[in-house]
Amino acid sequence: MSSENNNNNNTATNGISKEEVALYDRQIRLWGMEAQARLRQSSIKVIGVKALTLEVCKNLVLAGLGSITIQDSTPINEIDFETQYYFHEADLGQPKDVVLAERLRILNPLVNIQTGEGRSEDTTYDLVVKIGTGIGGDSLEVNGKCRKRGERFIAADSFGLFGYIFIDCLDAHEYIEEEKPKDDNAVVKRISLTASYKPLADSLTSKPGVANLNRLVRKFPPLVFVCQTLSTISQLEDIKSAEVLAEAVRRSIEGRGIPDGVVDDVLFGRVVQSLGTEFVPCASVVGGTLAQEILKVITRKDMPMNNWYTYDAIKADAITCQL
Amino acid sequence: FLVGSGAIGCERLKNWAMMGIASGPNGVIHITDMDTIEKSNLNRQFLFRPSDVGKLKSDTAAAAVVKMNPDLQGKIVTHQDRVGAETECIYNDGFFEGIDAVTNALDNVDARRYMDSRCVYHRKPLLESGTLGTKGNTQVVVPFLTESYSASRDPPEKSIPMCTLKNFPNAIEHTIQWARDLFAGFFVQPAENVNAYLSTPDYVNTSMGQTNENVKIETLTTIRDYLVTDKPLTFEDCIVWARKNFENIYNNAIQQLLFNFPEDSTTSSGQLFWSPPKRAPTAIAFDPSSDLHVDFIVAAANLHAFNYGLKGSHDREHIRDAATAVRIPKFEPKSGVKIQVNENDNAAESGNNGTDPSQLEALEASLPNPASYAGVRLIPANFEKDDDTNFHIDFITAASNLRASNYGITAADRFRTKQIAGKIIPAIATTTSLVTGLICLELYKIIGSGLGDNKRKIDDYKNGFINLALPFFGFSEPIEPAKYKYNGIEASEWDAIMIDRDVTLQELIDYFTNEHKLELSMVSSGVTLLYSPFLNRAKSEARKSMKISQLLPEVTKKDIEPYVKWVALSVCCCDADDEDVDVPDVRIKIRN
Repeated sequence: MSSENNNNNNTATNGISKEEVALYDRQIRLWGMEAQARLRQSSIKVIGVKALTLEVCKNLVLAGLGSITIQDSTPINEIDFETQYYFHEADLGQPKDVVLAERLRILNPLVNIQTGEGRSEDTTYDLVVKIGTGIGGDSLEVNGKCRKRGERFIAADSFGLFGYIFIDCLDAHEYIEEEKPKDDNAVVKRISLTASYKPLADSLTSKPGVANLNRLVRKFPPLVFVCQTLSTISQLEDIKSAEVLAEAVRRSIEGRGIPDGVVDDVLFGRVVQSLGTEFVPCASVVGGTLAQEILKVITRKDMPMNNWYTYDAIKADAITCQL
Repeated sequence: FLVGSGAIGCERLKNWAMMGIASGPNGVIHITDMDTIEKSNLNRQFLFRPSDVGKLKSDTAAAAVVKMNPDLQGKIVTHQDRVGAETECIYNDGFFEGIDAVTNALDNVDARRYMDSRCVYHRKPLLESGTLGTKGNTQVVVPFLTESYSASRDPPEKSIPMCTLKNFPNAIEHTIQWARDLFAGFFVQPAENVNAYLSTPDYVNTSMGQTNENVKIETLTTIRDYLVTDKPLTFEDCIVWARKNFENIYNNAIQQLLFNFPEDSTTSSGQLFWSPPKRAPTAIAFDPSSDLHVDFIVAAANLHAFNYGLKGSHDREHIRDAATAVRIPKFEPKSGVKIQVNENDNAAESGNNGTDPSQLEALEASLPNPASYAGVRLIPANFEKDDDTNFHIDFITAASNLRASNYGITAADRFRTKQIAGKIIPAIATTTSLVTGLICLELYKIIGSGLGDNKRKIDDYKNGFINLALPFFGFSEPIEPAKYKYNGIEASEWDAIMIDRDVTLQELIDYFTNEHKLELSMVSSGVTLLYSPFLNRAKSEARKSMKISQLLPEVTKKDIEPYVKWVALSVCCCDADDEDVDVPDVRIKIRN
């Protein structure tokens, strides 16, 4: 890796203190000082607290994000202790976001952690991440608001042995790619590129354009169509059975040129069984992936996934595709 | 058994706490890690806080995770051991019998191979994983089902050829490695050799008995120099020492090299000697106005002082002035000095051709009697890259960059030098937590792996390869172990012939003859040969009537450790046609 700093004195370049360089040493060696500095300046909002949120926030706080605002005032209940490892007996009944913020501050005091609705309507976040179903309304609405304010948006969830991530980095996302030099002595080449992302509303009505079922599932895992539907639901209780889910999915793929049998009943059954449950190992897999994508979005280094990721732990399938 | 409590270890424990691993009445988690917590760990070893720096990793991690799942209270046993042959007394037969699985959370291949061999021996599942920046991989090893971790090997790391390092560097990696070796050659080995000389009775004959003459002369010369001739009494002496070495390395040695091979010299085939990749060097004269030159003197003088327990100094101006004032004799390159050019040439750099016994004797005589130095010891430097106050990285950076300027190679700053010299692997929390999630999902499969019809098949398990930068996620089924046959029986690295009583050698021989129609020709335990065709008749007969538990101590002259329950024997057999046949290891139960 080329080194992007030339001195390590007390108030080093980019305003990063010597303390921070020592703390973040191992990751600065991976993505460079500039990316670390960008990280420090960034502010993101996370809506919805569940195991996946803990994993993502832990990873981001450790990395030295500038500020995180967590929104979810649901009181902590007994079942949360089973998977949300920062909550303990004494926290019963407390609002999730407040307690999580407290625990994360201890993890890295350099990160500014806020709770609730966040700052005033005037503030814009670098990124808004909506996790799970049920908090903060539905993803379409949130994405719509973000678009109006020029905020990037991610919707994600980890439930049972499944997970998904949807990324919208707006119409013109600029980022840098580094080309590894053939000669070790040469300077690393930085290429500036731009990528365009769809809002969720467009993605939900997009046409994959592949009529043949076999060819379709090779490019698009059937799970992604289920997750697209799930991302629009505002209350989990609305999905009472596999049949209800199947009907909702059928409605959402109507008119998009997608063959009817793309999602089989077995998958519907497995998904419904998983809804409302959490497995920490699955959350770790999705959380690690999601946190890395968030880092890409913020540091403007490498292209964030464009635009869907789904994970099926039983089949060991982690697949990205574009809808 | 969690081996390692660093980045992967912390994530693993957190997952286990949430999964409820070992939270039942008979559950137990053993964790071992000999390290203490450092500041640079905190960006991903998330169970540790800044206030924990300096504490033991295993203890701190265990305490943090009990908070997450109070059912784990009293179920976690922490150790501070490095796993290896030296701790086999702790991680012995009894230990392994009491655990269900092992997960590695290690940072080096040797320890991984060692744990793998233990798991194969004890037939325990092993979950293996590792990360490298944004790349990560996971591997599941299931006894009798999959191949072991060691069954496949990564290609060995490219090492820098000796000649390139010694005389013909062309990249900054070469000069950094050279500087790292120089560090050891100046501040580690001589101090260790001196201490060995002073503390081992009859050092010359006992410790050095086996080494060849040239090495002996070199070592004794170093001891003499460090102990008598060049021994510094004050820090000022250290400055002089540093200045003189600067001259030797960056001026004199280069002049000598150019004397042997002038810039326009040609090889036997008529080509220019100094053609790429070789770079022709230029000698450097000490320049007190150069920060780089002064950096070298400061670091070298302080490290030399450290070896002798003398107080160092940060006074750059003073050191610079003192160094400038040192009188340096003019150097004349000598003819007849041999310098190795290709890897296969005979090495003979110091002009020391042929061994002269009288030279060795004279050297020995010139060394002082250790008794007169009772209590005196030098302090070898213990290379520590993360301590910014110890001059280690400062020295290597200066030494390397000076050499780079000899050869016209672009210098590397301290940050980059530290990374290369310290072999630092960049690390982040995301890859670590993802990889651990995958491993824990596999752990569910191992635990839930029933017997009979419910038994898991090999394709139920998944090995993972990921790169978050691209992103890339690949999964594959584990590979079956390589199989061979003996007497019609299929076997693999997992199989062993278990004999559950303490048999005599004769009984063992009979067993092979009767059960497998094979003739036992050799029996060994580890590196000890217990029975072979070369043994004389009398010994052979005597041994045949001995029980294995008696035979082993008889031959090795060492008792079998009390914790050893099974003795493992490697045997060689041949069949009726006198062909060699591979058979699995034999295990003899000698204790309950």
